[in-house]
Parts: sequence; structure tokens; C-alpha cells
Amino acid sequence: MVAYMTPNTTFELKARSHKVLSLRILKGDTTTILSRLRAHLGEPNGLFRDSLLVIDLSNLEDPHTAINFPAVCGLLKEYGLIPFGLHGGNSKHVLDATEMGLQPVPASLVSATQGVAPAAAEPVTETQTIAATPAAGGNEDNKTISKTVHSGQRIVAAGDLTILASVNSGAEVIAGGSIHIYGALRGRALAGGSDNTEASIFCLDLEPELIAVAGEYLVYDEIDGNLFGKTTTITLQDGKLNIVKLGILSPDEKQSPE
Amino acid sequence: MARVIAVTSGKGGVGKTTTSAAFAAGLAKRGFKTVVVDFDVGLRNLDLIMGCERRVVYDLLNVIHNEGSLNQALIKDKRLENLYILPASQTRDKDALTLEGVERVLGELRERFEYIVCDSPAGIEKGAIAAMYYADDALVVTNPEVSSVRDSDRIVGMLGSKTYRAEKELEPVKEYLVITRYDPNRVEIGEMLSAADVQEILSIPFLGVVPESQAVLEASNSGIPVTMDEESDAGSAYMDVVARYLGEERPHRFMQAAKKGFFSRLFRG
Ligand SMILES: Nc1ncnc2c1ncn2[C@@H]1O[C@H](COP(=O)(O)OP(=O)(O)OP(=O)(O)O)[C@@H](O)[C@H]1O
Ligand SMILES: [Mg+2]
Repeated sequence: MVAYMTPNTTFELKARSHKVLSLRILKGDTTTILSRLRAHLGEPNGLFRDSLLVIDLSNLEDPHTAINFPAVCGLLKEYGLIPFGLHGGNSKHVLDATEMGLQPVPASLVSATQGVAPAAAEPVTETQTIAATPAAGGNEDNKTISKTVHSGQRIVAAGDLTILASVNSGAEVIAGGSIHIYGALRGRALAGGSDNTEASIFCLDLEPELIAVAGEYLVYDEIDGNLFGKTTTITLQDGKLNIVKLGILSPDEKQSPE
Repeated sequence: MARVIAVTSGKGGVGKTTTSAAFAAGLAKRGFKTVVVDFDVGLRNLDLIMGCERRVVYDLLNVIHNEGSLNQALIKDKRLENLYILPASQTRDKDALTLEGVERVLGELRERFEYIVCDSPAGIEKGAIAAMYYADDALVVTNPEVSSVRDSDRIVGMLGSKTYRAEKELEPVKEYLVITRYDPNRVEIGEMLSAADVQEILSIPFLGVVPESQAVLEASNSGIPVTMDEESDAGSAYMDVVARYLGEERPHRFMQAAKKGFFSRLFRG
């Protein structure tokens, strides 16, 4: 249409929607912040790999609190997070942050972002490989597991993950795509990696420690108690997890022994 | 073919040693040549429960480090013809328990016994791994409460990944659930998990419950495996567990709360 818009061989400018996480620091000295963060995030598990992050100091209880940016950024990078921006803070904060390569960013970038998911109180400490068969249909990224996933075990699938048994407390299942659990979900299920907002979780019996889709998460305490023990699907809608009970299938009446 | 049976739980104090002694004595009573091996280095207990603590000269670690022969270390039970004990060392470090050494000793035991019962220490560290690594079967001992079930679940995961059979991709270790210290009255009022709940979570074959019982304390105080007193509730429960392990069908017992009459209910408030 316009003469100078000839094909560009110098660069390509592409829009790519990317989640931006925010770390809102409220109070505390660096040591406390670091140990809390570590406890919160558990062992680095690749969940946050290559996720952009803004440090938000706009709600700092004491605005003069000194922040050790190299230490905080160092820890975040251990988890694969890429801290790139700073919101709020005093002039000293801005100066120190700039030295770490953080740019001041406006509120709009922070309000649209999401908090960092906490890890379970007891981080999963080892990855155990479990024989998994690529699902029928041929996608090598998909996995099907036919046995109970026990505490301490972690299953990771690049695509969809189907579990034909339960995921127990202390176990963790992670998928780039959706997760289907034909049993109880008592541990952690993280679908959609860090940015696949179309992913969902399905389980026959919802009693999770944590559920997440594309990095948006809820822990047990944040879930409506009426949904526990129910057959549910979990999807992401308007940036929030939406848990839907699938009525008639719910194992409301669990059998008691004998 | 001899079978190595690991008795394991993750959590401490749930009844592994009690179960090891009772199960081994039960197998011996059923006529099988059986040895029970204590892997709890530094905290040995099995010899007390078996009532042979004053007869220990050599132990498992002496045999592993070639400081004594298996014949010197094995203690023959005075009551049961087919039963032997291989005690643990009270003074050595856990690190002295090498997998190569364990493999050699178990290999020698396999030639002489039909069942080798390994009493595991608590935890998921070296000693517990040594006790389960060469197992063919495992008795997962669990109390009906959440933390014990969680730890047992962890152990079930490890049996499927951290054992010789798992690493060599042989037929997997056969896992069996034994629920001990079961009190149906406390289950009824919701203070304990029910056997059905525990089975559902761990999803491994169930050998039965052993009731919370005074007989266990009395037996261990006098150094007698509780199965030697088959009249007792716990002793007969363990004999049922042995029978089910051997493939026999037995109706489950000790799982029903005592029926309370109208008056007792009234007066117990
Ligand atoms: N069925 C039962 N009824 C009552 N008490 C029991 C029962 N089973 C075990 N106990 C008691 O529980 C305690 C712990 O049992 P035991 O030593 O067998 O556990 P353990 O798992 O071997 O412990 P550790 O992890 O320390 O080796 C003992 O005092 C024992 O007498
Ligand atoms: Mg013990």
C-alpha cells in the first residue's frame, strides 16, 4: 500500500504475548526475602524457565528498606526467571536496579501480571523416571501413565499428560499441554507450562495441593471447599483459574470398608 | 527359590521391627526355613524383640567386612526350629553398610534359607535403601494416619525406582500393605484413617490389619515374637498376614468397631 513498505530483510518485528510475572516485595530484609522465596518456590523445577519478571516495590511497607538486588535477581535466575523491570521504589532502588539491568516499568505492566506460584511445603527433591508410553495418535510429546504417581515422584510431559490412576500427595505432574487424571488428584498438577493458556486439567476427584494452568495457580486453601472430592475440569478464563464441577460423575459417596 | 522380603515404612516407630519378628517367626512356624536380618545399624532392636540380645557375638557388618563368617553371626532361635537371626551392629557407622557387601551376604543367605526378612531402619537414606535394594518382595508397614501413609507412599515410589529390580528392569518388587496399630473404634470417630482409605491411596495389595494391642508390648518386653502367642489378637492377625502372603485366603478380622450397647453409649457420654 505504501511505497516504502518493501519486504524487510533487516529485521522482523513480531508481537508475541508473553506472561510477565511480578514479585511484589512488601517488607523484610533481604535474608528473610530470600529464604521465604526459596521456601515458596521449592526446588528449581523449570516451571518458570524463561519467564519475564518485574520486581514491584510500590507496596513496600517501609519505603526506605534497602533491597539487595544482586542477591534477589541471582535467586530468581536460579529458577530460570528473567528479571527485567522495576516498578516503584525510591531513587536508590532505581539506581541499584538499573545497575542490575532492570528497567523502570509503568504500573500497567505490573497490574496485568501475576504473582509467583508458591511451591508445596515439602519440595519434591528428586525426579524419578517412570515408564511412560507415548499416547496413541502418535504425538511423541504426549504421555500416558498407568500407575499411581507416588509421593516424591514427578512426571513431566512436553505435550498432554494422561494418568490412568491417582496422583498422590507429595507427587507432581507437569505438562506443556493438558493433564487428565482418571483418579484422585492429591498432589500438584501444573498444566500449560508457563504460557499455554488453552491447557486444562481434568480429574475424577479433586483434593489437590496445588493446581496451575499457564503459571496461574491456586493452592488447596484457596479453593472452594465444595469442590473437594468432586470430578472437575480446571481451565484458565480471563486470567483466572475456573474450576467446574462435572455434576453426575462426582464420587460423592465414597464407599466405606465392608 | 529363596525370596528376600524388605520390611519398610519410611516413617519411624510404626512397627517395622515388630512386624519383621512376627512375620519371620510366622513363616518359620509354617515350616519355612527363615532368617530375619537387622539392617538398623546403630539402633539395633530386633535382637531384643527376638530375645537373643545376650547371644550376639558377630553381626551383619562383621560378615560384610569379612571379620567373621555367616555361621558365626547367625543366631538360631531357641524356640522355633526353622528360625535364625542375623543381628545388626550397634557400634558401627551406617556407611559401613555397602551395597556390594549386602549383595554378597544376601547371596549366601539365599542358598541356605527360603525366606530372608530384612528389617529396615526408618527414613529413606542409606540404611533403608540397603535393606530394600535387593528385595524381591516388600511389606510396607503403615499406621492409619496421614504422615505414615504419605511416607509409605514415598517408599512405594522408591521400590519402583531405587531397587535392583527396578534398575535392571526385571520383574518389579512385589509390594504388600500391612496396616499396624489399627483401632477400629478410633476409625469410627474419625481419629484414624480407615483401612479402605489407606488401601485406596497406596494402591498395593493388602495383607491385613494388625490391631493396636497390649499383647505386642508384653511380647516385646519378654523378647518373644508376637506370633509365638497365636492366642493373642495381634499374634493371630500376623498369622493371617503370613497366610495371605503365602497366597491363602483368610477373612479379614479386627476391622470392625466393637458394638456398643445403648447403655454403654449413654454412659460414655
Ligand atoms: N500392633 C501394635 N500394638 C501396640 N503397640 C505396637 C504395635 N505394633 C508396634 N507397637 C509398638 O510401637 C513401638 C514401635 O514399634 P517398632 O519398634 O516395631 O517400630 P519400628 O518401625 O521398627 O521403629 P523404628 O523406625 O524406630 O525402627 C514399639 O513400642 C512397639 O511395641
Ligand atoms: Mg525398628
